Amino acid sequence: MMARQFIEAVKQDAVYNLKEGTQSSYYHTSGARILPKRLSISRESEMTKVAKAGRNLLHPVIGQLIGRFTREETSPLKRYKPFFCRTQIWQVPEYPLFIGYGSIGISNNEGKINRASDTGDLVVLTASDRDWRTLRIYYFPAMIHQLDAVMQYLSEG
Amino acid sequence: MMIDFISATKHLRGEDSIFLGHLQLEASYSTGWNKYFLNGCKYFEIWNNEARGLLQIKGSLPYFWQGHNFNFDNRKLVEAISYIGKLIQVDLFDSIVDIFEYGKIIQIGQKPESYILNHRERTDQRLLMNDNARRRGNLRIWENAEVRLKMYDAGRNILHKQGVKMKDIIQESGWNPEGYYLKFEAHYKKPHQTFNRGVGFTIADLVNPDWQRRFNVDLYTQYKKLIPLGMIEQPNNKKDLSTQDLLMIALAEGATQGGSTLTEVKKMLYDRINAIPDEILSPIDKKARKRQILALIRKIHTSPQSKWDLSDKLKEALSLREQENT
Repeated sequence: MMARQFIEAVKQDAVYNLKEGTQSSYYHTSGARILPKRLSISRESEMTKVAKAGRNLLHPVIGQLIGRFTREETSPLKRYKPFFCRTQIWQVPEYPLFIGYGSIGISNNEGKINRASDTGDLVVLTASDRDWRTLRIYYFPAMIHQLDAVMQYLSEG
Repeated sequence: MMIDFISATKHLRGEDSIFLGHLQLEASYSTGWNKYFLNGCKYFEIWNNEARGLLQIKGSLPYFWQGHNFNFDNRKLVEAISYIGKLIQVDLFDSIVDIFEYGKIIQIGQKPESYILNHRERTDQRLLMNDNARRRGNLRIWENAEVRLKMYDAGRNILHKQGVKMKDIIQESGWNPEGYYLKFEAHYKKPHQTFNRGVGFTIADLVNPDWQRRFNVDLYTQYKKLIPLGMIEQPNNKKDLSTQDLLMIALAEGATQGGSTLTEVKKMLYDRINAIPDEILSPIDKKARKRQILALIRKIHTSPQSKWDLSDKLKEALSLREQENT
């Protein structure tokens, strides 16, 4: 299993706050600027039903994260127009204190997000309140396959 | 087995599309090379030359992956290389190994300093010894065009260079702060020549059991290029214990314990004689004194078995059978 000290070394995190009067529009408040400054994070109840395939078979889908980089923003994820990044958010039942995790997909050279344009970058979301008003998003580059080690690391504080 | 520093080159093909977004650009050179840092427990270097289709990785994998090099097995090496490959979206296992370090830590019963100072190069091995004055006793290096051999106090590095948190982690890996650890390591400058008759081999080969056996055998062979200094034997008859003999034995003992050979003792005394002006000591007198010194040194015998010899410990640590190292 990946060493804790490595996970700690590569960990980045950012805080996003829900915009007043909206249900799913979040703005970057502090921390790492790797994801777009505005994110749309919706809960499963607000989403259309997704097929029970792929990772959805492994863990239940609890939400979705979508963002688009503006013209001014810079990020390693901003590669091709229209500069979208997206992931489902899957719940890990063994770690109920976390909202869930995602694997960031970005727009490819055809402007689409597909399996091949998945970066393998792992995001883990936590909320400080039941209404998800303030979210902390942890970012681990190329570590989707280290989910267990990362969840264990984060849950142990 | 333990691989530490590695430098390897990937020849990019048309279908390879590397992703450098997660790296920090450190410098761009007119030769077309860009140097990047990859964040980990310690930085790891990635060099890219787009025009020439080359990608190089450089650094200590153990330090990058776990923050220390007390131990680092095959599984961790594969994990670390896989991780870097995934991050830059290219398979690195077929990269050609340019340089690598292979070593072994041995737990010993006495302070490493005694072992380090009591190892010298064999005269027929054409190795240049380099004692860093600041780290004298803690590190000794021998070098030639193909290899750099290092013997150093591995425990001292942990005690002095690591923080409290990391010390706890290393302790979990088997390090005992009260123990003495010596590392013998070979830094292969031309591994393709040493191991594969000039033909490059890949990172995947580094974790191949057959290759690892070769690395183990070679590390032992490299150790045998050194000679552990013997102890000076006390003569057991009166005629070899004159005052002159006793003085020479005491001088030789002191010098050998400081890591010098008897040849160096002789040279030191000859230099002393040569430094005396001819008007005080004529060339004939100097020759006569040198003859006396040589005679005294020839009477000194060192024990054939050196207490500093690490051959058996290293053989055991490398899991070498008798026929593999002769």
